[in-house]
Amino acid sequence: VTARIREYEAAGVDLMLLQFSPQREQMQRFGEQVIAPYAAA
Amino acid sequence: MRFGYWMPIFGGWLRNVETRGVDRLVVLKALAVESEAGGFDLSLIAELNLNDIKGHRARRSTLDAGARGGGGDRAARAHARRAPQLPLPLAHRQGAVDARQHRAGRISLNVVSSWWKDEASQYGAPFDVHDARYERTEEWLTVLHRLLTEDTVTHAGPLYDLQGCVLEPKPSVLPTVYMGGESPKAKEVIGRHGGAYVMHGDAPDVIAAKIADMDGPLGQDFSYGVSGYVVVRDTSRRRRPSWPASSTCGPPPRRTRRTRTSSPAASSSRRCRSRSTPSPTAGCAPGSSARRSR
Repeated sequence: VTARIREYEAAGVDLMLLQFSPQREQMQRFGEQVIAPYAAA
Repeated sequence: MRFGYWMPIFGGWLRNVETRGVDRLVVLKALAVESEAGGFDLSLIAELNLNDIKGHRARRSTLDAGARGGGGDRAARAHARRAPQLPLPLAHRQGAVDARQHRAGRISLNVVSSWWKDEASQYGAPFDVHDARYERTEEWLTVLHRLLTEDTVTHAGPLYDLQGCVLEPKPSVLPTVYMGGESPKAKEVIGRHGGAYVMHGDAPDVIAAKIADMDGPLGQDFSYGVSGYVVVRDTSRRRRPSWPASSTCGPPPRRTRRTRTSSPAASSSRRCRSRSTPSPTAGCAPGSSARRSR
């Protein structure tokens, strides 16, 4: 997922507007498993 | 990269997943607070009079509920505003629901030009088509900018007429204006008035081409966003759809729960609408701002 985000970043994207379902648990997961490692890298 | 999310004011994004019985206000408030801790920067709250996802008569939460939900300092809020359909400055008053946030620069605007005809005709709002949408948008944004920066505004234009209008409080930071649209007229107006261009979740190479196409008239600070629907699971196999790839509208209802409760890792674009283009990752622009902006 992070690699894909990097592809968008390389394309010039600096914002992703996302939807999830079920939203609360999947957003929590995305924060922990995608955003945190992404921000730390 | 900044990460934003659509506030689920309609109850949820899947038409075939039942959300009745869920205390939506509790969920919205929790999301607003938890999302900041989770690293999200932006919450997009659509302003609609009808429920776009669950049907006209289904409940949808109000802007106030979403806007008041946040407790933290970081996340900005963007309001998808079908600005051109609303009178000024009434439309903007809603954005200033929490003047404290407004002054702190936590509010931005996603301005959408004539998106939902059915709603417009039900509510007696004008519904412009083609270039006329952007003529209205442009005049609306021009007036709004003056209202946010000038003490008293008098404006006599083809579409809006304001005599000595006062709008307070003023924001400490002008709201970023997010817009979408692909027509030449749309891009022209976005280049003049927008601070960010939001697109459907097409594949990265398609997005790169769209950005290259926009780059000319815009400054370095201009932001580019894409909409997407994310499925993160523990393995690629687990996130695979359990319905045919040719499907454009998601799985049959009975399989949905299985898909939801499996535990898969990759992002995919399974929640499609007929007008959206699926792509491998941040996929169909769902009820997305890009879509709303057309």
